[in-house]
Amino acid sequence: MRLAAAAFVLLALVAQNPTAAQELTLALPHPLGAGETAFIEVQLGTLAKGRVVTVTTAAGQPLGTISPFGVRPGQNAGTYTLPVPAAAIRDGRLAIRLTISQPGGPRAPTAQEVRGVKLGIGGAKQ
Amino acid sequence: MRSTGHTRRHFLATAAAAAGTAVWPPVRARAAAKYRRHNVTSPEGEKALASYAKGVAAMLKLPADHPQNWFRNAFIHLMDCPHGNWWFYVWHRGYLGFFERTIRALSGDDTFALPYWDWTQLPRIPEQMFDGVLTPTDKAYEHYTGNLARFTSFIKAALNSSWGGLTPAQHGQLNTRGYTDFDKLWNDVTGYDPDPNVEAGISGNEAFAITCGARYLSRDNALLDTQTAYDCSPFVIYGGLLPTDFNNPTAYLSFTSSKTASHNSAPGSFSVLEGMPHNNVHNYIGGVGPIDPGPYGNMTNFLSPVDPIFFLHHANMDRLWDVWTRKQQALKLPYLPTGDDLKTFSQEPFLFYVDGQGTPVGANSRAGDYLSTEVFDYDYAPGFGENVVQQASASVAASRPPALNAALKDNSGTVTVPRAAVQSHLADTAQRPLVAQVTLTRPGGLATTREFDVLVNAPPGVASAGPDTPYYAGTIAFFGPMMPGMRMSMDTTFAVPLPKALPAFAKLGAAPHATLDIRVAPSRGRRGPAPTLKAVLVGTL
Repeated sequence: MRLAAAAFVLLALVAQNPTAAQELTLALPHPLGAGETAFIEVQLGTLAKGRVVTVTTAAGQPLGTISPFGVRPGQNAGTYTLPVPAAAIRDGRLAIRLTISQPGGPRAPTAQEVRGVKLGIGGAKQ
Repeated sequence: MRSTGHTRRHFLATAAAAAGTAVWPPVRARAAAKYRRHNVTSPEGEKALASYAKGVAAMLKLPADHPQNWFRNAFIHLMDCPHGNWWFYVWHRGYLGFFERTIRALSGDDTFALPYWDWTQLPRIPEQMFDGVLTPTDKAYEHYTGNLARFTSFIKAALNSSWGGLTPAQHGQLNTRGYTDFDKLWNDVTGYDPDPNVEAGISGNEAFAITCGARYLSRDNALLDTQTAYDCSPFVIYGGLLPTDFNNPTAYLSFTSSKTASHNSAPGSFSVLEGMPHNNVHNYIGGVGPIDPGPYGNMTNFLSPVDPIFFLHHANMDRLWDVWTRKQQALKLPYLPTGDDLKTFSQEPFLFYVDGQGTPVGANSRAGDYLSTEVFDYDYAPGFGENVVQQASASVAASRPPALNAALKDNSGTVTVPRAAVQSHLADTAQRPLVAQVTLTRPGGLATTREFDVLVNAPPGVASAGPDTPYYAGTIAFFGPMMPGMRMSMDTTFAVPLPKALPAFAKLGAAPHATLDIRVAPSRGRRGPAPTLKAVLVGTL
């Protein structure tokens, strides 16, 4: 029985600044229990070779860098899982920023590049 | 979730079933391996690098039509490697194992074992990997990779000839990969996009890398950048080792990436370890970021095994799989797919390997041949993450107390659970929860209720308590009707893992024990009497 696994709450889009970063606030399905770790799943669409999606908290704490490898041109880049430090979560919510690299500097990803972000809980069996 | 016994043995079996355990290969005691893969920073690892360099130099000198030629070996990866699916680990284990045998044969060092690069402990390319042929920027490579014309002249004809000799089964797999003819494969070498709207080379898609640009990182610039180092950090690695399922449709609950139709299918969901440290180390070494939009060094594309660091990087990935496997074994949990999934997983054909003598491994090679490190008779010197195994072993060895019998009164079982058992249950490292085993009499006659909620410390007046209440521990259910023609036992036993959030645990405080009052009630608001409790036990899974 994995109550934590069963609950999977999606996010609320707060703002998207096309020139900087995509900002999202995600809600945990329930408070983290002992032995549990929060994870975010980032679903990517088709990315140009070498594009990297960087995920941080709103305060700038790194959560991970998604750098697709093993994806042939034209294929969707897949879905990626990033663990989230408990300290990054405040009042059951996680505010994140996503940027995508490009020559000349990072920008906010488009809806075709980042198709969805989810927050879930894994780790302990309950 | 059903059993009919009351012994501790039955209890454990039942509890395991409750946790979703199925049949998987038995754990065998490990004999000492013949070969040990050491950390590249250790004296043994440095010694291995000397033999590694000899072997690479010998492979470079082999003609292009030799299957063990250095670049031909890299083409095995381009044509067959799985990424973003659950065969990622097992395919690379076979690839590294046969490569290790090749180096053993060609270096003359029959004790050779690949060293691993533990990027969590050392977030920079090891110093020795900039020496001689251990970097693809060395002059020894220039004869082959000085420019694309040289590389084409050296290998294309031999590769095309080899293509013609592939079996129908191999061509079938290449078709799945999109290589329906040789030109399409070669397009991935050059980066040429034949789309009528493009008809041009795309620099970032070029798997070929010119000698001077074959590796972005250099001796003077050997550090992984902060983003890549974060993806190799202890927090991320522990997160990747945390799942207890070999594969789970929910990515963050899965040790491996997603289950796909074949190992040549397009990527699905990436596990933490494949999607974060694996991918980022590959790409950053090749220059993703600093030299966008390419062309990149070898490690960024499918000819990544041209860079000798590839094999040290993947030895570390393989080591982490081994760590995870031993953690699972210590926890008495499955470490491979279970049930029909194991058959599906194991029967996937891996048709492109070449063995240590340069002979194709053949049509009978299957993923199931490479599930264990025993097939290549090696193990690993401890590296980062090893404590996960030790903690799992300690938790199993130290804290499996006898199951506690509850005293039955008024159709409720009361059991006193020692403080230590509760603390273990709640601790971060506790992988085995406390479980309540409830034996009850199946309602007979005209009773229609088949599902009952297990309640813990619910006030006397509470007749039902679902998942949204603090007393709920789970729902047990009888499946199917009683078979009147059969002599069925009326008593049935269920095992229910106890949630960590129960107030009975939260209120423990400094008390020496927690008292659990366990009973059952009709589920989903159904009315009617609770079935008669025959026994209640509490134990550790």
